[in-house]
Amino acid sequence: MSVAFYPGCSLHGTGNDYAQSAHAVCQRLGLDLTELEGWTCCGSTPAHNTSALLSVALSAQNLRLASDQQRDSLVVACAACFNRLRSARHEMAHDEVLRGRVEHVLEAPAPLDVRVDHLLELLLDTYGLDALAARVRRPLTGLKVACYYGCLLVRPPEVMAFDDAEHPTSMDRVLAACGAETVDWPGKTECCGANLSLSRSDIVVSLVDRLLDQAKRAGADVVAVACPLCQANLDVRQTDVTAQTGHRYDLPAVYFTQLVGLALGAGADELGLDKSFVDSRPTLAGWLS
Amino acid sequence: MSTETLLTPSAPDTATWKPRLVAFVCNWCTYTGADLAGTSRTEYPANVRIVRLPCSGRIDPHFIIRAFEQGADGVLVSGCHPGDCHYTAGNYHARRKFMVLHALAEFLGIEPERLQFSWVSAAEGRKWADVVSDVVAGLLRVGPVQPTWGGAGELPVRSLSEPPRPVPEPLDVVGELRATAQRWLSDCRVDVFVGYGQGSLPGRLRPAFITSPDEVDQLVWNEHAVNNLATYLTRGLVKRHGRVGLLVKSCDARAVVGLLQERQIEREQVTLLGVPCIGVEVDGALAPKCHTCDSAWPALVDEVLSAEVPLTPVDGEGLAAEIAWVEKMSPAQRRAWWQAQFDRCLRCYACRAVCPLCYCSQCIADQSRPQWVSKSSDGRGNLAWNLVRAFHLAGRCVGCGECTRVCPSNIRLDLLNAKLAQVVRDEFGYVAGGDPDLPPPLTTYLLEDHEEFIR
Amino acid sequence: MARIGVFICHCGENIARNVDVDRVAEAAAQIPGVAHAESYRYMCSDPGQRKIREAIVAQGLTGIVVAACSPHMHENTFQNAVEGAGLNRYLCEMANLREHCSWVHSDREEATSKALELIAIMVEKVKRNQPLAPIRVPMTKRALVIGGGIAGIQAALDIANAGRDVVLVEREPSIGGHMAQLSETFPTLDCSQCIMTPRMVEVKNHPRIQLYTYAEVEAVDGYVGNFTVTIRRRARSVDESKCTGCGACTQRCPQKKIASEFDAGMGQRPAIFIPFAQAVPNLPVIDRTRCTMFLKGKCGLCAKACPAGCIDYEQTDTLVTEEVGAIVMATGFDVQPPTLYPEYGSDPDIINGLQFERLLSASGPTAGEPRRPSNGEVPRSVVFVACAGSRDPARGVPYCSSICCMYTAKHALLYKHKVHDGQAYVFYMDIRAAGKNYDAFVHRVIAEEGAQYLRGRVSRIYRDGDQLVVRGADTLSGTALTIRADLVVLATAVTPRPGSDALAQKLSVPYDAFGFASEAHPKLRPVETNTAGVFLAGTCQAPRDIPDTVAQAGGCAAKVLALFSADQLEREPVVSRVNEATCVACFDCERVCPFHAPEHRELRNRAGDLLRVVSHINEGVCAGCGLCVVTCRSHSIDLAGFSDEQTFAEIGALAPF
Repeated sequence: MSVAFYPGCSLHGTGNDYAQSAHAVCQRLGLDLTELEGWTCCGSTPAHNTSALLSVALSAQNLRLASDQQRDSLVVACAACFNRLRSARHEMAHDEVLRGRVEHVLEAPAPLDVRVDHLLELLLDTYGLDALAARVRRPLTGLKVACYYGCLLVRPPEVMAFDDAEHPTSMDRVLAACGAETVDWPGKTECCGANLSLSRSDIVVSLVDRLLDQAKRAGADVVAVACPLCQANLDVRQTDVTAQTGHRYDLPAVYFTQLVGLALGAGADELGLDKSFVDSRPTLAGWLS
Repeated sequence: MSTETLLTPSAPDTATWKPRLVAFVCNWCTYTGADLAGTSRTEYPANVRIVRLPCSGRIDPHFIIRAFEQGADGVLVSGCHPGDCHYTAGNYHARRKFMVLHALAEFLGIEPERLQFSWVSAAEGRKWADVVSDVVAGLLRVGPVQPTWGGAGELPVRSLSEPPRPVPEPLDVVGELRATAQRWLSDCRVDVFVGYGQGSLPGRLRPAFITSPDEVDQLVWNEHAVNNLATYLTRGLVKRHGRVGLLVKSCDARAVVGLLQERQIEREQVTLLGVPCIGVEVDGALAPKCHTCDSAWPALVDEVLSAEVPLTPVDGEGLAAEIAWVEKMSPAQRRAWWQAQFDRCLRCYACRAVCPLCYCSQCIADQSRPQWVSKSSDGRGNLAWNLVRAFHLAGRCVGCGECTRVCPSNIRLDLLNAKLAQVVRDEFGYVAGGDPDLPPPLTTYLLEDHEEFIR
Repeated sequence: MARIGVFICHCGENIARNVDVDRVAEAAAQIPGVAHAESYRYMCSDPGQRKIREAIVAQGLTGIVVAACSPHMHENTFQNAVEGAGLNRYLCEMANLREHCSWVHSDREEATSKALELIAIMVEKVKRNQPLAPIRVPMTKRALVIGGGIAGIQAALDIANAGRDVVLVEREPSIGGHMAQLSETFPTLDCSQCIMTPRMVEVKNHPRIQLYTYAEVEAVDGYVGNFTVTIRRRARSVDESKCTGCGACTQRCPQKKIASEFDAGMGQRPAIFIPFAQAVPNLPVIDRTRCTMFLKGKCGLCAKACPAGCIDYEQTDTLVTEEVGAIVMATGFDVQPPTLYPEYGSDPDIINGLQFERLLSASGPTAGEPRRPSNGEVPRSVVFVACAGSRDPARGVPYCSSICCMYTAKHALLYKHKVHDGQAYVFYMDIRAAGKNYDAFVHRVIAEEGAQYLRGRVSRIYRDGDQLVVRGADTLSGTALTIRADLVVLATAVTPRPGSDALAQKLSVPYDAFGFASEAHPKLRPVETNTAGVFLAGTCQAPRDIPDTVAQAGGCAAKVLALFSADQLEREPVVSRVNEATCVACFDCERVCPFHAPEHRELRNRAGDLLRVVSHINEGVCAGCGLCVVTCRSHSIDLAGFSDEQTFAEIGALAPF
């Protein structure tokens, strides 16, 4: 199977550490994570708030590129890109008229033969947990992780068809294979406030406060995420949370790839562990050689 | 004008031509679904005539053939969805029969638009209207049934993938054969022994019915022993003697399995003497069935003659290559080709007489109330007869090839049989003549049987 | 010579609007064999039927085609009319000019010519119709009831009280079913046990009821009026004839911590146990999957404790055979476990409605006081979640479980009665309280008992310290809610009893995708099935409450008694018949028949020597599907009413149109 990696804008920007760690993981697993050549915007929130056609067409353009480059699957790390690409594919598959309009815009056929997979699915389904466990060099034994999936990975369930929409466990299984202890906590798919971060940061602060509180109560040492925006909100807003509520957590929010990379033997710099506001390195010191 | 153009139906004048569609439907689901289309005032083309039957399991392939004979342009067969049958399982059985019929129609070059299947429930008035509209639209597309004279030429006889192979020297088993028959008769283990005797012409054998140990010297064995002696098991000539000893090749033994399955013989009535066989002769060459035969040794025997059997690998595709050749033709060409074949049929029924599995005491071809098959040897009667014969053997024919060998008109009945055997093998995972304890494939069903051909 | 009468109905304007009925009548009169053709505004009305009867007598008609609506609508009406004029009712056919023609084709010309052709088809058919007589078969006037819950008990008592013998089979060690587990019943708050246990005793003491508990139906053979049923009596390991039910054995059993089925896991029982104090029969049974004697081969304490010496470790299952004429299937329901939604987690304080019933029941493990399974304390705040699995096509079942709205309201009420200062919250989607006095009951719970009803779904439940946190939505106020609860009760979906699908197969009764047995007609034959002589009572057919179940069980009893009221069984004569002269006895008919109607018949000469064995269709069993007819290669089988000749004649009448 030939895959192309779709980074999306975040992974070239604020989520740079996500990209870094994803590449580190895949390189250690021998998975080819070559970027899709000539990729463009996925359609994201700005596009699908303004034009339904544009949001689908932008994603379709990337699917077309992948098809032209003879890729079977487009692997995505950013939850928002993943949601857009998979939704666009779903909408085109179920709406001939829309597909026709998209093809008119693209002036090319909109291919449905390219799959859209999340990085988690790549590890779980394509690579396999047993194979992953076999490559673990520094098991994360004793590390308690609250896996946070957010909303975009799993919803809407009939479109995303990703795990159990209300009670996903794929990240838990991946990290458990790396030796970590994942905690059962109620916040898994709750909202982090997403892009209200700038316009209504008060809402984001209260949501993040609750998530961190729940994770902490569940005994987590770190929160693992699979979305650049979730990471940003959970990480950057912790000082605001303290300022507004007086609650102090110091709970690192890390990408799941950073933890997997750690288990596979990658170093802190290679994984971009220095990039977050709440430094995770003291917590993870025991596993950093 | 090329044959191809001639055979392509001209675009029908839709303004004047109205396709005639006959629908055979079950009483409980589709008929009621059509009622619902009425009560919901869902309009659909008036080209359809419904024949109501209790269950899709009651829809006889003969009805479909007769509808076409009567000038229908298309036939729609419709019943309850799987699981909904008023009679629990009628539609599951029907589905298997329709699968075979559908494949047979396609193989004969009947355009798929002309024979359509659907499941329409009592709640699906809308679907009924849609199905009828769709099927009528399909018929408008293919147009009226076109004449197909001037067919696609003759099939190169049995030489598509391999040259005729010489017949190997027969194994020397005659001594042991005679001794065994003598022993069985003397021990009163059998009342009659059926084997091969010298025929009236050189190179021909004929069946020998030995009832006394003194007569066993009449028995012979060589490469001309082509007849399938299992046929005689159900014939009065042999039956009235009582217990029968029968000489069987591996192919003949498969027919015995069929007769056991269908309870035409009791196992203890028959004592089987297996003869190792490395090929028999038809028309001066190795018989087609021997090309793909993979065992010299019959599977079902009581005793077996001993011989050193040289290793003869299975080679060639046998009939599969010829089936593929037929299937490569366009439907119209195929229809023309088969029409040319059936046109030669004399209705002598030699195929029926020689077939070990055609044992009915009164064949439907001889019945007149109702007349299932027109008795004249004309296009209509010949088509119906050959279709019915093939359908009745679906899942039962063991491929002995005797029907084709004895046909005075050289009609390729073996291709029809082999095609349906392929369908039965691929769809139902069943090969006739194997395990006598398995039910014949058209008397059973699986919930997960394929139904892609059903709307 | 056939003299066919054709009667064309205008159906008011329904047919006449799109079909030129006069022209059709004129043309129909010209069809060979038609002696009389006329049209009338309402053929099914009394004057219309009189026209048919008069024409039959006056013209000596030999067959009738009524061209009107669907035969599903009025075939019976016209068959009766024809019979009233002395003609056999099966010499009447209907051409469907309404549903299949005038209502679906707007082109009057096309519809008119199609109408005529539909009539011509039926004329050709009816010319070949044969007079048929109803089939009469003897029957055993004894009923089998499968399932000893309220449905089975009601059906059994109704049949037995009318003077017919009943065999009642119950899979569990005691009859009583779910109703015996309930606390109080809505909307009257009758104590369930108080109204149930007397009926159980009545069953036990009824001279006409043969009761088999701890038994299952193993096989069903035969057909309506003549079923042979094999019943497996599982080994109780207790000699029923000697046991007095003293209970000494159960007290001595060292295994005491087994989750009690009767208490839905809320209480415990030993390995040898009487399911509950009021059990019928009041006899213990050894659970061989948990008994030390069976697991480890030694113990025997119960045998030592038994004063009557009736513990029998060697006892084996026995098979008994019963002959019956009718069967009532009353296998009941189950509720889903409270762990369907992973986001609710699996916490001891999250239970389902049936478990809460046991906590509320005076005979339950807490003597009727609601207590938290986790710590035994009285819950101060309880959240009830309706539709926990029901009406959820994505993750649960798509159907409504029908009883949850009411029992949840009852739960809230009973809880408030027992814990006065407690708070009850009910999350619901809609309140479906369609029974008599039901809506008033729910309103009472909300207005007078102070249960807080919240319209919305629960998204997540998680434990926080000693309590559960329930997060959900109140869609009426548009707010997200977080409620701290001591106990959560999920109204999980009602499903058929496990194994009821396998039983339905033995009975040849179809069932839906969820396993609920299918009735013959949802409106007009709700207790009958497509297998003659098999009836459905209670929740094996669909979720329903006690009054509906009791009514349906009574309906079953009435159907059974009506069946038994005749001397012999009378059936529609649409059945297959074998031509013995041409049958070659391949018995493919036997292989395909879903009803086991084909039998082996021996043909003998006068001296009694066996000539041949041929197939013979048992008319009492044959349902008339015609599958055997098509399967028979020699066409030695034909189907009365839909014969080969009739069908060929219909096809032959198809003119180019």
